[in-house]
Amino acid sequence: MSDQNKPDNPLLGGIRIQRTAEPCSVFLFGASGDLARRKLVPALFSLWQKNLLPPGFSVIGNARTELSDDAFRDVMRKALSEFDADQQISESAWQSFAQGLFYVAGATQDDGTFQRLESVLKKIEAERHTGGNRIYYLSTPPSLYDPIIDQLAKFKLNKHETGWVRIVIEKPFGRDLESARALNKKLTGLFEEDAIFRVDHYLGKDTVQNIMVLRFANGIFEPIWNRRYVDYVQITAAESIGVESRAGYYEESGALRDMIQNHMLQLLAMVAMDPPVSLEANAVRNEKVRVMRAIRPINESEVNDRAMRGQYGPGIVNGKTVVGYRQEPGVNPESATETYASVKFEIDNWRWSDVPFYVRSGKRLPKRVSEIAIKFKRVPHLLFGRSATTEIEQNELVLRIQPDEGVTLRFNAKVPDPRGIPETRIREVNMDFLYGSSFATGFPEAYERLLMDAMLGDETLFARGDMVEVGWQLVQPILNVWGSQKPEFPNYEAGSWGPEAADELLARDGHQWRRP
Amino acid sequence: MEISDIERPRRVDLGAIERELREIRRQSGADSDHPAVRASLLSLVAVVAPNERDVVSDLAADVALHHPSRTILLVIDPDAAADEVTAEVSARCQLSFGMRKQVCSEQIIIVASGKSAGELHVLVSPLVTSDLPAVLWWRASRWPEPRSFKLLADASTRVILDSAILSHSVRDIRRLQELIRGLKSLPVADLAWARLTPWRAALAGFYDVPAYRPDLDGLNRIVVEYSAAGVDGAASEQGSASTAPGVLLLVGWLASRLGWKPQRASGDDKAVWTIDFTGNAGDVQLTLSVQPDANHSDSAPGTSILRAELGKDSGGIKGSSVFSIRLKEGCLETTATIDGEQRGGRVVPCENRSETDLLREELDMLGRDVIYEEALSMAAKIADLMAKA
Repeated sequence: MSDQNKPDNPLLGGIRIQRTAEPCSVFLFGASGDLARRKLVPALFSLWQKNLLPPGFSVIGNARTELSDDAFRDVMRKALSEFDADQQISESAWQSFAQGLFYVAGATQDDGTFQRLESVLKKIEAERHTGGNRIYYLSTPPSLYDPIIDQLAKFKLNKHETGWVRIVIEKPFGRDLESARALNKKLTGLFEEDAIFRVDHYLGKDTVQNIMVLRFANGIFEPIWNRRYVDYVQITAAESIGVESRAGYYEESGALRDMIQNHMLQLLAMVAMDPPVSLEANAVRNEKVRVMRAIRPINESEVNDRAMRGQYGPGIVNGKTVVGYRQEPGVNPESATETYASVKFEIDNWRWSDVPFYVRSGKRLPKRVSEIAIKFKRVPHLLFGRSATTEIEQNELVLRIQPDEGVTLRFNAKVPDPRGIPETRIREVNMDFLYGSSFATGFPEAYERLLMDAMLGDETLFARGDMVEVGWQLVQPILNVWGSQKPEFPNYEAGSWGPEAADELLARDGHQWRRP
Repeated sequence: MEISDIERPRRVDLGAIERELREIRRQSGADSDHPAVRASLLSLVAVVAPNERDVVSDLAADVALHHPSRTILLVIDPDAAADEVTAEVSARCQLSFGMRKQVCSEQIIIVASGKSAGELHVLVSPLVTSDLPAVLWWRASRWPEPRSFKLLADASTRVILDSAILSHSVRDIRRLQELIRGLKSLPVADLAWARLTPWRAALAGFYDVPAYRPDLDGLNRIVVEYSAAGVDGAASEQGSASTAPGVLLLVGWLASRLGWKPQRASGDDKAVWTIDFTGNAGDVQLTLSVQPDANHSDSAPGTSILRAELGKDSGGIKGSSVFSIRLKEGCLETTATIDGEQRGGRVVPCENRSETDLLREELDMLGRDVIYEEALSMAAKIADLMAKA
């Protein structure tokens, strides 16, 4: 039953909690993986402790390793202590939660695994009264998506007579436009679109959700949020770490697939979209897709002018000497995988015509920072004296996603001169909003929000199929060109802000990258 | 921990409070390692008795770390012979999450004794930060004098009180309702109500499951058990619900949300009360039962409630349902019995939320809580019936 059709519960009125999810089972493929242990199970237990999960809530883990239910519970309990040290764990709450943890061992290509899965699900549904509501969470390497979906279909587990069935898929959703389309086609052949939840964990971040609040809950920003006042926009997601233990995945992926195609384009869409008519999931996503469709396609002949790639060599990060990408464990010594990508996008609509959106993401940059900077146009007429005007900077609004979460408005102010000299000197100053000084609480874990939304059937913070395909359409020409040209890597030092070519991308337009 | 100069309270003339605070701000910016920024999202005006001054000062400072604010602590002693007003100022600073700067909040303590204690609004108004919400927190256990309270409330955008501290008899629920009604549309928060949130959430959560939702309309048997001790752990009058306003607020909430009308109350030994309601689908019987032997520490922090059970009797096993919540080792244990068959329950932590936690939560809300107002109004009606019985 959809949320809208539920009869009102008069006892819920005014209670300052989120809604409790309906009883359901979550079948977790890839239960022994990093994501399950570091994020998913700690997030589910945190929701349980907050009383947001229903009685009977169950998790069935699956991986190849043979484990009993009890052994699986022990593994997850240890993971909680290891990876979620901040969470206060009530042992009796854990015991109560652990009663709902089960395990089915076996390879996902193996029919026996799904026969056992089916029988465990039926048993749980009878004993724990989950009403046939199921979520299949694919927390596996992407190569297993196809076989798992095929097996779910083969055993008719994609539908249930009485309950709802949903599927949650982690990134990467495909590795190019063709594979993303094929995956979408396969999924939509078996599940309704509103039962498919494509995770983009950036959207679960509070500070990303604040972009909507900042834009649409305040009257002062929207009137200047257009080409008349905005000169250009920069979106940055920088990491100081290297590939760490993800070389296997990253070698096949690279910065463009890993960050730009999904997270960065989602951020761009949130900044550039028109106001949705409501906060209903499709109303919001319609607007995002609409603006993404308005992004001017980059022809293959333009790629080298509008997209830059880089790969880090050895260098110094945070005071420590680090190896280059090609020397990282598990990386091909002649790897052509980019660890840095920057792209200039332009949006062909009335609001954003001629306003470039520069996006960049990279590893082994000097610091970890994600931010959106909106640079406003210069004042139309310089009123102040020559000495003053040379110092005048453009106004800038910076939305800091992480760390130092907050919003900064940079503007110009008169420098006081105690000598009383009648010359106006002007300097840039900051007006800061810091989450830390206004809301002393920390941020909720993005996965708690996303898991809760999946259980409640709210897709607002998940990518829709057409959105994913538009993302791939936009980067596909870049992938094609980069795939056919041998790069001169490494081309930036670890600890620097990326390759020089990326600076030229902006310099041609008379701009430069921020140094956050 | 060493206290810095700006954190040490300094006595000042009433007319020099702002000037002294400016000086504190200047000093706080001089720390080159961790320069301080003044932060203020609201003014918190706390009224407190002299013997609670230090406790509440620390408590307000803790709250200010989460809700950067200017705290104005009004220490009142209207019974004192001397008519005197003194003031002190200080700042409390911390390194906030994700920041390299200290965030400092200001605290002003005004001690008013004798007649001056009734004229506090005159002192407070100029000290409240302009253009920010001003919250009046009545933390004193003495009932406010209506005129003085009204004048203080008029300078505020929200009032917070704690009926668990203020209520001493069953009639005090009605008195509270009258006091709040006198504030017209000013938003009021009650910390005794905030303590009920885990109970309300758990009870409401049962019926958020679509299959169980219809049972809500057929409820006809309610049981609430509670300990005989008050919120502060002190023994209450035997068998009375009077020191447990949370109990009355909980049943007032149920009755008001479900449209029940209270008809009569009876309780021979007053250890067990029976309240009869007329519900939309028939009669509803509520049993309030004091457990005199229960250790207060067994009850939910600050509520005295030990167990709540919502039942729908349909004359037989088929069609009946019982949802029950009880405290077990500091957690809420919930069970559901449908058609005589027990369904999977769960255990959720019922964290012992301190007064600081409750106050922090209330300061997040700035609007009216209509659900509370309706629950209080219903609780007052029930209390009237109990007082007459």
